[in-house]
Order: sequence, then structure tokens, then C-alpha cells
Amino acid sequence: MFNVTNCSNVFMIDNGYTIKLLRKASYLWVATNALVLLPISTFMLDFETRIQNSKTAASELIIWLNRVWHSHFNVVGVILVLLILFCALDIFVKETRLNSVVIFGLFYIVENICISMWDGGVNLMHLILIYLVFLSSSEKKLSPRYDDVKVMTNNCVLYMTRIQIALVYLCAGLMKIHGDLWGKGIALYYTLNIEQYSHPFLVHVAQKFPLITVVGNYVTLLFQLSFPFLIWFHGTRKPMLFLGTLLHLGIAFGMGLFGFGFAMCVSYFAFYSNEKAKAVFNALEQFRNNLLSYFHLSRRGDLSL
Amino acid sequence: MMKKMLKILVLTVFFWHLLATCLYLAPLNPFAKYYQKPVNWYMRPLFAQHWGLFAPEPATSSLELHVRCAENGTWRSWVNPLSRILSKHHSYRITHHGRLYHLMNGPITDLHNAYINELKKNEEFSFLSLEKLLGFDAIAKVAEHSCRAIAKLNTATTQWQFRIWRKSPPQFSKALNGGSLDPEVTLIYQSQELNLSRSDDV
Repeated sequence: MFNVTNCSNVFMIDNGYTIKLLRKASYLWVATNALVLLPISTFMLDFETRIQNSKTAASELIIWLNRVWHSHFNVVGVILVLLILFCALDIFVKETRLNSVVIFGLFYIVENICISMWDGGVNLMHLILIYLVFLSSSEKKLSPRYDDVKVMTNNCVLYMTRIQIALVYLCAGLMKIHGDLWGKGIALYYTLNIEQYSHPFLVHVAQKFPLITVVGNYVTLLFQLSFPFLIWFHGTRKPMLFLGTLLHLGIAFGMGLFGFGFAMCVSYFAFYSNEKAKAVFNALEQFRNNLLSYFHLSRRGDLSL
Repeated sequence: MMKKMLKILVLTVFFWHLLATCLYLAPLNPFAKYYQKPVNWYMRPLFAQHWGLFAPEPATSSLELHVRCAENGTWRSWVNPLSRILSKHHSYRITHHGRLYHLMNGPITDLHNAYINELKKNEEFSFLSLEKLLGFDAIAKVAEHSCRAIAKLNTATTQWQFRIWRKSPPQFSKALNGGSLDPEVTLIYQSQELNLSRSDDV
């Protein structure tokens, strides 16, 4: 007979530090993204409403707010600053569920102001931000009686985040197999020759040493198809995360898609074990203490080189 | 009892969401018609997603917009209004320039694709009818604004023109055999001479 208690045991492992790490890294990505968009905050709205002539509920809301204030007040800029502040509050001061809801709400508005701008990174972070609303890493106990329900909810959402990331690679890998250029091994050669998704140095490398792009093409394909299966095994998880991080840093700096590249790297924190995540926090704590003692000593003049 | 009920609820929601996500992302199949409607109803408002990531085929050429303006009947040389943004994007990876270039490049791709589609349908399709196509208005505004900014012109008698180039990299086989590495440049569209008379500056 189906036993809920037995079934739920799978979901009863404590992953508090993993959730905390994923949460902080995701909000750091959101804050950085908002900071990058600040210089073009007014242009985003103008582009969508006046050049593309498309209107979403979010852009209508901003236009309405502009009308209410009878000015050309930069409402989009204010929303981006609020987003940065709420993320900073969550990272450095206090984690609350209300914060998560506000951050997702503000992110959703920014995302919908200029839909032409977004890529896979925003799509993935949108999903992670929804999951973060249901993930709680705080140790505050509302009612000890329902503690295991809370742990179980946390784990269900964390597993869903992991499955979601695996599905991203599975879909991308399967779609690539159907492509003629990916199968022949020359897709990366053509992609790296597109100025928008490349760098003059990489264009040079692709044209001078085209065989490197063939290797890169098949490594990408193999990685995307194997990740959804190998990531679940303890022995293969580490190499997969390492290879994925290299691939996505390459996408961020080589192809210039820093939003997507970093979003994927951030999502990898969901696969960290609780102990590993705790070790990351300990290392950060150690780094902070070292930094503080360095400043303390340098202020006292006791620092000798 | 209450705790048990809550656990069942959490697990039900988890498995439903997992199933809905898998079905939403599944490739088109004969059974799709049975589940597509409820799954889309659940997924589309908040969980919409697409993971092509340069698949099935990546772009094999890049498009370039060029603009030129005429002052007192004399045409200035062609300029690429987006080249500065692209060069900044190449120099500084974590700035807004990449997003801006991607944004501005969208209408060029839209117009190019719409034009090619129209040509496939009707070989006689004239670029004079291009004004109705997706992306034209956006490009016209960008070109017009660039002309104003570059040439500092603002009179109704000023004319401007834009063209779209397609730059294709040398074929892979050529690169492999050490052949010519110059990109192949094709003129896709050159607009008629248009008057700079609109005032809706961007």
C-alpha cells in the first residue's frame, strides 16, 4: 500500500545551505542585471512602445505612472534601483519570503517592459525566482509541528529546480541533434563568425583553426545530451558542473551573452550538497574575517609587507 | 492527520508541476492534442519557456544596417549606426552594450526575414512595398534618428536612405582548405530616398 511517510522520506533531507547559496547567487545575478540595465532604462520603454509599437501590461503601467506624475520621471530606473536594493537587503541583511515576492514582482515588470531584449538567461532566472518564493532557508520556525512539511516543501521545490535545469539541456540537446549544422559539426564555426555572438579574436581563431570549432561543437552537443543523466550520480556530478561552468563562462565572455552564461552558472548551485554549500559559506566567512583583520591591521599601521 | 494531508498536497503539486513542465517541453507528438490545452493554460502565464539555444540551426550570417543622408542634394557616405555599440560590446562584456545591440538588431532581422518571405511568395515584390513589413518602421526611425544625430540635419528637405547588408562568413570547407577568408557581402535592401520630415525623435 502507498505510504506517504515512506515516500516523503526522500524529501526530508536538510538542504538549508544549498537553498541559501542558490538564493544569494540568484539575487546577485538579478542585482547585477538591473545595474547593467540602468543606463538604458528609459530607452527600454521607448524602444518597445515607440519603435516596436508593442504594449504589455507592464509598459502600460509605466506609461500610466508617468502620466500620473505629469513628468518624464524615469519610472523604469526607479524600479531597477528598487530591485537592486531589495536584492542587497536579502543578500546582506535578512531573507524573507516577502522579499522574494517583491523581487520576483519587480523582475517580472522589468522583464515585460521590453520583451524584445530577453534571452534564455532571463527565462531561466524568471523560473528560479518563482521557485525561490517557495524555498525557505531561514531557521525561523513558525510552528515546530509543521517543520517537516516545510522541509519537504523546500526539497520538492529544490528538486524541481534541478529537474528544470536538466530539462533545459535535454531540450537544447535534442533540438540540436535535429539541426543539420550541429550534426555536421560546423554550427559553432558559423556562430563564432557572427559578430553579435562573437569577438574579433574568436572570429580569427574560428577562421584560422576551424577544426577547433568542430571539437567545440561536438563537446557542446555531448555535454548537453549527457548532463540530464550524469548530473544525478555522485561520481559524475563534479566533472559535469566543472565542464558546464567552463562552457558557460565561454558563452558569457566569448559570445558576449553574459546574462545567459552567468544565469546557468548560478543555477548550478542547486546541485551542491548541503555540506558543500556550508563549506562555501565558511570559506566566504573566512575571507571576510581575513579582509576585516587586514583592514584593522593596516589602520593600526601594524601591517608589514 | 492535518500534517499528512499537507504532505499529500505538497507531493501532488510537485508531481503535477513536473508532469506539466515535461509535457509542455515535449516535442510535438500525436498525443499533444489531448493535453496541450490544459498544460498551456497552466504553464503559459508564469512558466512559459523555450530552450532552443542556437538550435536547431544557428544563424549563419549577420545583418548590417547602413544609413546615409543628403544635404542640399549631395549624399554623404554610408555609415553603420550600430558599429560603435558593437565595438563597445566587444571591448566590455558586462555592460548594457550587448543588450542594446541585440535590441537594435531585432528589427533588422525582422525586416530581412519578412522581405525574404515576400520574395519567396512573389518574385516581383518591390522594395517600395517594404513599408508594410514588420521591422520597417523601427528601422526607419533608427535610420532617421541616426541621420539627425550624425549629420545634425533637421530640415524637411533633407533626404535619407538605408540599406541592409548580409555578411556571410567564408564557407567552412574554404576555411579548412585555407581559402579566401573575406566575408561574402550581399545587399539585401536599399530604401528609396526618403524625406526627413517626421518629428517623433527617439
